[in-house]
Amino acid sequence: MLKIILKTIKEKRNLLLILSSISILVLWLYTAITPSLESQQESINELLAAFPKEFLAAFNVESFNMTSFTGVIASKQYDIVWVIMAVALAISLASGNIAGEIEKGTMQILLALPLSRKQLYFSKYIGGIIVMAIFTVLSILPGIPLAQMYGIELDNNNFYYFTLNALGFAIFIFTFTFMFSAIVSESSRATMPALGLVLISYILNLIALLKEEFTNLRYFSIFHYYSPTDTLVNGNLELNSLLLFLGFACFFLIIGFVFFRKRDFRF
Amino acid sequence: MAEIEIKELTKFYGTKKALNSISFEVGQGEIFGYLGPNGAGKTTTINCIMDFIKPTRGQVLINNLDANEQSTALKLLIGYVSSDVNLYEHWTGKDHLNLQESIRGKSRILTRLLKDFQFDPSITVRKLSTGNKQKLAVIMALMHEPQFLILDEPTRGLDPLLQNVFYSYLREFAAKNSTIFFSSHNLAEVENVCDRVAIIKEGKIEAVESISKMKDKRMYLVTISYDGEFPKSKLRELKAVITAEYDHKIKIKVPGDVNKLLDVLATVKLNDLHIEQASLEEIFLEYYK
Repeated sequence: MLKIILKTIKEKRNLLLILSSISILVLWLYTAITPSLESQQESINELLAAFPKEFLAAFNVESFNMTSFTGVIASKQYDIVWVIMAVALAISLASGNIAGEIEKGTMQILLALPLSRKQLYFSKYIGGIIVMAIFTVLSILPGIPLAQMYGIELDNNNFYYFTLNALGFAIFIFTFTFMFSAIVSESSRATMPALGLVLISYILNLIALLKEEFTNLRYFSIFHYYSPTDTLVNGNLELNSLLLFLGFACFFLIIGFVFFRKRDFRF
Repeated sequence: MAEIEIKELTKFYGTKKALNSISFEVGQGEIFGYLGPNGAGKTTTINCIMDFIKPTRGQVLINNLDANEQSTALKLLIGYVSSDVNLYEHWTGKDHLNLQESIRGKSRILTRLLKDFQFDPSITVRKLSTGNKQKLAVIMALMHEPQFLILDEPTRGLDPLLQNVFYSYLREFAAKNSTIFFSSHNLAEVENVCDRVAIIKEGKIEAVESISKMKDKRMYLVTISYDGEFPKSKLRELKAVITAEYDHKIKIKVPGDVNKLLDVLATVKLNDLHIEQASLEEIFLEYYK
């Protein structure tokens, strides 16, 4: 089992290193410019006052997230860049993990080994979760030493809370794609539902923010439960959000396993 | 005693019946050939044996264990070669062998296999030729001296010399009581290696025969160019069938032993002679209509 877990991690090692490095470099960039942004707080406030409130709300633009370190990284790095990287990594990893191996025919090698389908399925899942966890930790926690390097004061707990929230989000996307990967035989067919979910969630969240009468739609969006601003800036860890992510992940994991255990592998 | 028992195995793909209630047994130490044209159901049978696919009905018993219910325990005893070898392109041969050893334990005969098959495991799979990929797949199947070998057209891509090396390993394993299930569409290969053979056609077992009986079903396609008269009456005695006839040229299908035909041809002045073994499809048309 350990061999399959290590194999899964090893196969995504390069992508993991590239994405984590990019994330750290972007984080470093925002850390470096934060002192100059803080010094221009008044002029930025004047600029923001000229925009409609709904527009600013829709794009999560507020004074604090244009001038404070945690506000800047929450709105710029973790609301957009990190989400794109995490979704790309989760989908590529999960779709390639089972469906990709079936498509290439290499699943035959693994199925011919004296491993049960349960061992194979969960080894691959654990390997994927470890990759997602390493990426999440490497792309968020370096913010603490970087902030110290530039003399920026912050509450370390906020970073830990956000790491948990982000990990929940990453696990949710990974497991959702992994479920489809266990059902279908082509990686593209596992990728499509996950991309669809992210896109629909994004649109629902946007509509909910722009139109007050549709505000309840936000509960149907995964982005409502992923909240870098709330955790990094305000230090609020929504346990319900975390439980929701993990609860759905467990559900997807079980559904995927039921199909994986019973399915035919045609090569 | 039967080591592999296939009992009324049936498999549907949607509404298409890929296997139609097939049954046969393979004994301990036996090299059992599984012959059939492409699409007959050979790979589907093997996929059921390996628990890659679930049978719609019926059962596969290996070593008295259900291949579907106890596949994990069984795979410890099975070496497998697929008809389409798919390997990790970015891995080396050694990476593949290490994966096997990390799960099945250290191989006692790996060094010998690498030498006999002239395989360099340090090369990345993407740089290997088709033949070398096949060698690696064969080595992976043999390296733990399995009690059962399930082979789906295992010599595809191997050159004739290495095919002989492979056959000698099969005979050695069978002598040590390993049971070998060998799928092929090459009649000559099955005749050369196997003790018994099952013939599958359109998902149904047409016959299970010993190789000696199978040899009686050999057929040759002969083209003869001659001068003078040809003793056609003697062809009838050989149960040969004339398929085409031109000026001093004749094409015949001859079943059974080719030596009897050569005795007849010894009395004829030949200009040219071409003898080839009939394909499995042609034999099927003749014997398993």
